[in-house]
Amino acid sequence: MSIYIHKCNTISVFDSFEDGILAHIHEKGLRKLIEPDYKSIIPAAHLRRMSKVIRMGVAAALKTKTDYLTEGIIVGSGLGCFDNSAIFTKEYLIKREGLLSPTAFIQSTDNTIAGQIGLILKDNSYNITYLHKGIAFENALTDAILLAAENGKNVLLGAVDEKVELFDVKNEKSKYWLGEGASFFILSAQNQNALACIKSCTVISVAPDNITLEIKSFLARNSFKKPDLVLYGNSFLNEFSVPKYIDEIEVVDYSALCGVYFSNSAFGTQLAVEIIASGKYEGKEVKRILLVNNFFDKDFGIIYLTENQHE
Amino acid sequence: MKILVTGMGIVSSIGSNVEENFNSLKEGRSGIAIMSDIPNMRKSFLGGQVKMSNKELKNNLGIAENEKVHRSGLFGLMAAKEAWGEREHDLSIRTGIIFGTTVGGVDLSDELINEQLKNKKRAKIDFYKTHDSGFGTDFIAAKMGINEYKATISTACSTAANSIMLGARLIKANMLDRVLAGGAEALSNYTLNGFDSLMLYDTEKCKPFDENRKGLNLGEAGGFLVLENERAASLSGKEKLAELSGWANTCDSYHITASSPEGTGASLAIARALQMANLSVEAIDYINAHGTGTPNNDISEANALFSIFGKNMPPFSSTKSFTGHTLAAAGVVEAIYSVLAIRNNIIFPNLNFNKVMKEISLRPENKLIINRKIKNVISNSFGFGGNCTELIFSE
Repeated sequence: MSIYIHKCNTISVFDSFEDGILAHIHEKGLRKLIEPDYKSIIPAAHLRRMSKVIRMGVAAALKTKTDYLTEGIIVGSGLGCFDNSAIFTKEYLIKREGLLSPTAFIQSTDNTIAGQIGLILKDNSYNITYLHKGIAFENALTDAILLAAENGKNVLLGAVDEKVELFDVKNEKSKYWLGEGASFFILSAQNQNALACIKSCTVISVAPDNITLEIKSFLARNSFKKPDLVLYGNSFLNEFSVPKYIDEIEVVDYSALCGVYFSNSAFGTQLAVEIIASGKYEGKEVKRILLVNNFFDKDFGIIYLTENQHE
Repeated sequence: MKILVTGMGIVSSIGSNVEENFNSLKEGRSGIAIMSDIPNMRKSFLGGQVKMSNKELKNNLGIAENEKVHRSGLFGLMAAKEAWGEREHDLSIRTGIIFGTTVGGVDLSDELINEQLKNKKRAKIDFYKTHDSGFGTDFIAAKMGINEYKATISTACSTAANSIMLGARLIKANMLDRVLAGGAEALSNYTLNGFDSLMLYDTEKCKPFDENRKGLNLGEAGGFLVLENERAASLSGKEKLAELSGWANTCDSYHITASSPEGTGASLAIARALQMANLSVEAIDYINAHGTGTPNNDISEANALFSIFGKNMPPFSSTKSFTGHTLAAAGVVEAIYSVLAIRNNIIFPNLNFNKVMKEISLRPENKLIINRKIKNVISNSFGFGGNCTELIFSE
């Protein structure tokens, strides 16, 4: 089943929120999230009570939703509202008597992000949240592919993860560093005016030694042509070597651009969509991209994208 | 295409397998009592605890005592094994697993943070690798030998209902042939304090749909269904227990933790699920209600039910009066009870009900009904974030 991407918005370490990632990709990043002016996007009454991860997700979702009618809100997150769980745990462990404030508890409920988006948009449609570490975005995208085929409408899909200090294993020498970000998409089964097409999304859980073979078999099984570019990323902070998945194809490591976080394959997907929509990368023609998300050398998220034409 | 239920597994405060749960429901035995053995409790609460320690659960499952696994994962594996039964893996049957919890291994995080507060030491990331929601899915998938597809859902109290719904959709779209779908929730100091901070507890046993209801009791449980298409069912040779004939998921979009007074999201979801199953309101023989016992949920749900069924209101009850509210697991626990109602032509009672709510004259069944033909059952699941999920099981 193919699905077409019509719009995307990303909050990242690049100034990508207004005009995308590619326009800023050569700017020297400071490895620090560039957040939009939330007040101009999220109604004040809601914004006041939101934690950072909720703000990021809701802002990216609302911006992406502008001008589109959608049916279905699907959010993926590696750790969801994990930071607030630690806050609430400390609160009740320290405060042994008296009343507890429910704010951190409510904000620790992982589907608060999707719920808030539905609430602000007064949207009664399908609403769901996936929370599966490094493959949370692939979980969510698979549902979006199903939903768009079922309802024939536009679907609002996104992924968000905030930086949780606990996971920050600092290593100055490494090209990998702990990041954060939010990326949202409008997708549908219709290809009219679409930016790019996602032909397939799957997760392959194998030992890293076997992944090249598995990817070749994935491409052959689906009769997919050899991609023009491989976008590769780590979604767990560690030193995994970037493998050469298919002979002689250039590999671009998106996790070295956006930082390492569980749902960073959503950033990679927006980058892929922008490259395909522009038709080239670094002067070379690109019509097909294979995105490989390496989670802990254990689960590999595989997304195959093409230009907006049936092959 | 038919989505068949061909396996069920459950562990709850009223039994460690399907048969024990069924007997407790028939005999009116509630699992709700004063809770014990949860570290760092601030207060005492009533709730439905599974009467097995983590050590006993690990022993039963053949897991080393020092292996780091949260309690929800242990419940999940126990239920998965029962649901799976004697089934063989078959490469021609594309198999997936969908699981969910609300707070994952927060029982472990609680212990860890408590240690940190005492010792003023920062924890290493390694300690947290087993605390997130996805860990339970990975753990159960590995033990059950499933690696083709896995997903973890987190939609608060409707989590397991959404797991079942996704499983059915993946089979219907011909992406998978067989899905192990469910969820689990262990009682933890975290959730107890969370619901306490929201002041949602009843200090007595919960009384769903009663005028004098004060709130909920929490419970712990794990459950799985095996869903199969007809080809997989015929290959595995398992008896068809029921058919999953309709489903829907909507967002109430009223408040982040409360339901709309008129039950907008719920009535929309019920209407859509009925439409999908191609069933009229008269065809529904029993409703297993969400019925948490909170003032807000029960009036909202009653209004939603009345708006759809009106004078044709079928018998309904909330089995949370037996198990307590098992949060992420509630959807699969109640799916299993719905299938049991169909299989045995029986309606389980809503315990502790005495007085009809003054706002709306709906009376849940408070006695066991036997020998009543049950062909179609609706199971309601609602959660924080305004999530409303409906499942319809048919004969």
